[in-house]
Amino acid sequence: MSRSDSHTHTLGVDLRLVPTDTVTESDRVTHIDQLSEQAQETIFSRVCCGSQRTQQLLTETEELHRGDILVFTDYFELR
Amino acid sequence: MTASYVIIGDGIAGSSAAETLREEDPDADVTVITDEGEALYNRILIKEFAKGKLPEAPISIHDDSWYDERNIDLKLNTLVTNIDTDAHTVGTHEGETLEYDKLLVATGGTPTQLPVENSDADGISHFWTFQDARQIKDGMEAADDAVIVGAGLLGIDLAAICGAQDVSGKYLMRGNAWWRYALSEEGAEIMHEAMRERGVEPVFESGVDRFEVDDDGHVTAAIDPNGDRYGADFVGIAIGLNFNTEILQDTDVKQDNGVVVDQYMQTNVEDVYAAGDLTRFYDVILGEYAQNGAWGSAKEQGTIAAKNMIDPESEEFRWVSSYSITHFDFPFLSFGHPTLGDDSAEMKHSDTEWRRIAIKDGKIVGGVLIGDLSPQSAYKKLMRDEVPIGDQKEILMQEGFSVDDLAPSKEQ
Repeated sequence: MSRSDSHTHTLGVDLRLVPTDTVTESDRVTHIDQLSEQAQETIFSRVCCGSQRTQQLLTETEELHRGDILVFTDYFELR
Repeated sequence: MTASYVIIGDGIAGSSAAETLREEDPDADVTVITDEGEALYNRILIKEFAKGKLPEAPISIHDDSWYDERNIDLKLNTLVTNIDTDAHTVGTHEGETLEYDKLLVATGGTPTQLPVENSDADGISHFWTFQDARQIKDGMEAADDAVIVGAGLLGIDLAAICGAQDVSGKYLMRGNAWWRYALSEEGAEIMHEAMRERGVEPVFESGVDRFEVDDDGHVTAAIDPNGDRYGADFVGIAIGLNFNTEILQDTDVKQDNGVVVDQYMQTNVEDVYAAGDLTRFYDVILGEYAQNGAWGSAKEQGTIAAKNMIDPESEEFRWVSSYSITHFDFPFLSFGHPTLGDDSAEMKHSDTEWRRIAIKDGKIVGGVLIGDLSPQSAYKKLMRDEVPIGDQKEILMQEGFSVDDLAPSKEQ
């Protein structure tokens, strides 16, 4: 179940990070440290604390798929 | 002729090496040997499992089919008993002898045991493997009071697990602050306060002199060197790793608190490489030998080792690692070698925003950022490019700092 949309972060044109409380056995879960430096930078910039000068839009990649759960300062679902 | 590669260890270093070898040498024989009973799992996420926030399945990264699809021979529950570097063979506990053209040792480490009375009692767990995480999860769920030992990056994971499981905790530290070699007291206090908010109380200038146990041999308390008693029915310990190098004892592979490798991940013995936590590698950015236990570093080392096993000295390991703590509402990121250096600069911007960079020979070699990660990519770029920062430490500490803010150094 996702939480308030006020904590949703837009990563790309049609990709968002939505806080979630639920992880199931079938979910793919990724920790922020597993991502490339570029993906980390984008997520830092969108979620909390990255340089606005370097942020880039993210799309679905080998490392981030729609439906994945990302572990950072919270658990986020990629939608 | 078909090349034969043997990898000992199926952590992220060994596994990334196997994947790279298969991608770049499709006809080669690739064998991965591990004494663990499960294939590669996500070591970064086992703390989340122990918190009770993640189920088991997402922790697994590879199953048997991953190896089958890539024609990689995975040997689980297999102990290496002998390495003959002259004959280029590896022996296993089952009496099998494997020949190799190139060998990669990526066996990682085993948690260091606390050398005190009753440290092997029931209810005392060390934290490293998935199996450890299962034991810690069960232990924490059944506990009322816990003691945590080990004031570093793994110790704070145990403290966070304690908090997440609503167990009252005492976090015993030998010094006056958590991770005192990388953070000043001011920076550490942000982390201490976050621990307190989760019900874990840091105890400074403490440690463990011995454990008390009940008649069943279960831990009941930790006694610190000051004689203070901390009741606990669960104890979590994370005080470091002993590297798993026993298999190299009959070889000439050089060791110095780890397996010594050059920037190509090659040991001093021909055709023997090493990667991951157990290496003491030549860091081309730092200009000296160093160690790093971060996931990304181990993965990259495995990849680089594999490339050099195929084509010797073709690609060097040049990497600025990073490590995040994701237990709190604010982000925490360390990068490079934050405990090294001959100089430093630090700044506190708010109650939850603090940063420190470590400097060696006038260049950034590492750092820690709490709360505001915005300058991390600039700091890492300066480190990666080995840019002299001259007398511009104050500029580096400014909020919103970027590389463009730094004037060209006269040393350049």
